[in-house]
Amino acid sequence: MKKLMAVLLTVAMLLSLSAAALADEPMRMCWWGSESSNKIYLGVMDMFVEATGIDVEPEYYSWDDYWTKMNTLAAGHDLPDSLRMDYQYIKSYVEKGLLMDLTPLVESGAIDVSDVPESVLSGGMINGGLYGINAGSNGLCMVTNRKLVEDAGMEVPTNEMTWDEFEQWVLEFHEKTGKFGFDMEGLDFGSFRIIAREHGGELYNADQTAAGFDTQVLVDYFASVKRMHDAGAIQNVAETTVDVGKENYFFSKGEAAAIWTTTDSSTTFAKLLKDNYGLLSYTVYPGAAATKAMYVKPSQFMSIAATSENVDAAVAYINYWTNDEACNLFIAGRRGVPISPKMADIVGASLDDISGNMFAYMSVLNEYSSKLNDPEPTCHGELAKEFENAQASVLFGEATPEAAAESFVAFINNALNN
Amino acid sequence: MNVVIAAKKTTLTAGAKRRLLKNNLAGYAFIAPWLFGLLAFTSIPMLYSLYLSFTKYDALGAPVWTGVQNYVTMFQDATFWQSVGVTFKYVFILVPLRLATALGVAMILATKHRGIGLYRTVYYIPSLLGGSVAIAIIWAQLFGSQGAINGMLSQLLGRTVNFNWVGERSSALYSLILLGCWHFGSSMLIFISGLKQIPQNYYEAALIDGASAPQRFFRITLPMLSPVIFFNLVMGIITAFKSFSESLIITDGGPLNSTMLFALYIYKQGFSYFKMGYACAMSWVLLMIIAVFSIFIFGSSTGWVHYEE
Repeated sequence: MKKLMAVLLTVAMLLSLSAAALADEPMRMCWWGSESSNKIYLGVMDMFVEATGIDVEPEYYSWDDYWTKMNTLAAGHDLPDSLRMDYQYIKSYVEKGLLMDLTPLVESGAIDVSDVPESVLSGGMINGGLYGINAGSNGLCMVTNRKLVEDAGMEVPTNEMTWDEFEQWVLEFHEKTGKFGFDMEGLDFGSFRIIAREHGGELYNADQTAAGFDTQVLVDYFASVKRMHDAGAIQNVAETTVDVGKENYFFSKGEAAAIWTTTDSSTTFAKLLKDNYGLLSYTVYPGAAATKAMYVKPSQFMSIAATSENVDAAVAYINYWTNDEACNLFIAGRRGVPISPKMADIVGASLDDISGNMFAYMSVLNEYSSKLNDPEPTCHGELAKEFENAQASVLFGEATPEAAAESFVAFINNALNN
Repeated sequence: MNVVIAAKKTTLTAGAKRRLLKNNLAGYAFIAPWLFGLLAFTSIPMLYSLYLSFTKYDALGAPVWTGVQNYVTMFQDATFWQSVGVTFKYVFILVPLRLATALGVAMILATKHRGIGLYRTVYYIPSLLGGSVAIAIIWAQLFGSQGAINGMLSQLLGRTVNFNWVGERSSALYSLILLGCWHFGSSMLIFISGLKQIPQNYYEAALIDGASAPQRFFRITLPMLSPVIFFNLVMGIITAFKSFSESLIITDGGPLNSTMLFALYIYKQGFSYFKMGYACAMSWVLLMIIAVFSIFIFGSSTGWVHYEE
C-alpha cells in the first residue's frame, strides 16, 4: 500500500513538473471562498480562459487560510498576479507597497470602467491611488419576515422608522406573539457603525487615531439593546456564544421577526425560510434614513500584485469580470450588484424573485447612503471582537451600559495608538 | 532510564569514552535525517520565534526590534491574565478527570470478552473526531438551551430547564472540559497495554491471601501501572496546555473570554490581529509554563513511580 502511494505520488509530481515546464507562465490567480463561491470563480475562470485564450493557474482557500497564505507569499515577494482583497486588509497591503496602483491603467483605458460611477470606485482609493476594482457592491439591510409580522396583526417597518419606534416595534411583536422581535446575531461592530453615522459620527475619526463617535451614542445603544434583551424580545445573549451557522438562526427558523444582515447574505435567509421566500421585506436600518447613514460597500476588490509580470492578463480578467455580459449573467449578482450600471440592468432583469427583491433594494439603499470613510485600520478585527465582549458584558448584567461604553472607547483609543 | 542514570554516575576512562563515541556514531548516522528535520523545521523556527518575540511584527512588513516590550504588554493585558486563569482551571480539572476516565474504561476493556476489539475501537472514535465543526454543532445542540441534556434534566426534575450550558459564563468552560474528557481514547489504549503487562500471578497470590478488590487495585494495579500513569500524566498536561481547537470552534473564546484558552489567545493575536511578535512572546511564556510543570512532575516521579527491577 505504502509503496503504491509512493509510486503514485512520484508520478503525480513528475506530471505536474512537466506540465509546468510546458506552459509559458500562466497568470496566477488567488481567491478565498466557500464551496459555493469557488464554483462561481472556477466557472468564470473557465469562461475567461475560453474567451481570451489566457492560461490561468488558480489557487483558492478558506477565508482564514487565504490571509495566512497571502501574508506568507507577500513576505516572499511572490504574490499572485491577480488577487482578491477585502476592505479590512487592503489598506495595510497598500501601505506595505504590495499592490499595484491601477490609476494609470484606468486613465489609459486599459481597465474599462468608463460607465462606473465615481462613488462606486472610490472604495478602492487609498492614499490617492486606486488599488482595487470593486467586484460587486454590497450593502447592509434589515430584512423582516413579512408573514410573521402580518400574522401578528402588525405592519412591517418602513425605511423612515426611527430607533425608538423600532425598539417599541420589537417589544410589541414579542408581547403579541411570544416570539423574538429581532434576531441579535446581526448586532455587531459593523451594525453599530450605522448607528454612529446616524449621529454624525463614524467608528473612527478621520485620521484613525481615536473613536469617531460620542460615548453617549454607544451608551444609549447598549441601554436600548439591554431593554429589549431583558424583556425577552430578543434572544438571550448566551444563545449567541456558539456560532451555529445561518441555518440555525432564530430568524431562519421563523422564530424571530427581523434581522440585520448584508444584502448578499439576505438571499440565503430568504432561501432558508422556504415557503416564506419572496415575502421578506427589505428596509434600511432604523433611524438611518434621515441622515443617509447607510453605505454601499465593495463586496471585495480585484487587485494586481505590485510584483506582477503578467499585468496584461490580470487587466483582461478585471475587464472580463466587470463588463462581459455572459460572465455577469453567470455570476448573477452572487458577488454583489455589478458595478457597471449596464450590467446591473441586464442581470437584474434575469433574476428570480429572491435575488430580484434584493437588487430592487439596492437602488433604495443608494438613496439613503453616503460616502464611507477610509478602509478599516489593521486593529479593526480585534476591536470588533472587543465590541462583542462589551455588548455581552452589558447583556449578561456584568457591566452597566455606561461602564461598558467607556471602557470600550478607551480600548479603541489605546488600540489605534499602538 | 537505568542506563542513563548509570552512565551519569560512573566516571569513564578515556578508552571507554572513545569506544562509547564510536558506538554512538552509528546511532547518530541513523538518526541524521530526523536530526536534520529537527534542526531545519523545529529548532530554527523556534529560535526565530524567540527573536520575533522581541519585535513588533505584523507578518507583512519587516520585524521591528522593541526589546522586552511584548513581555511588558503581556503583564498589563487583562485578557492575557484571564486566559492564564482559564487555562490553569481547564488543565487541572481536565487532566485528572480524563486520566480517571481512561483508566476506568481501560480496566473494563482489558478483560477478555467476546467482541472486545470492537469496543476498544468504538471508545477510541471520539479521539479521532477531535475538535471538528461537526462536534461543535453537536455540543451546541446537546448542551444548548433546547438541547438533549436539558431535555433529560427537565424529565428528571419535573420542571422545564432551559439553561444554555455552552453559552453561559459559569458553565461554558466545564462543557469544554467534558468534551476533552470524552477524548480519553489514546490514554485508554496506553493504559490497556500497561494493564496487560502486569503479571497475572501477583493477583493470584493476592487472591489466595484474601485481598479484596480495592486492595488489589491500590496495592498491585496502581503501583505496577505508575510508569504508564506517569507517561499519560505528562503527555496529558502538555496537550491540555496546548488545547485550542475545541474552544476555537465551539465557543470562539466566549462568552466574555470565559473559554479563552492560552493557545487560542496566541492564535487570535497572531493570525486574527496580526501581532505576530506578541504571539511569539506568549508562546514562549507557554513553553516556560509547560517546562516548569514537566520538571516538577519529573522531579516528583521518584516518589511515586515504581519501575520493575
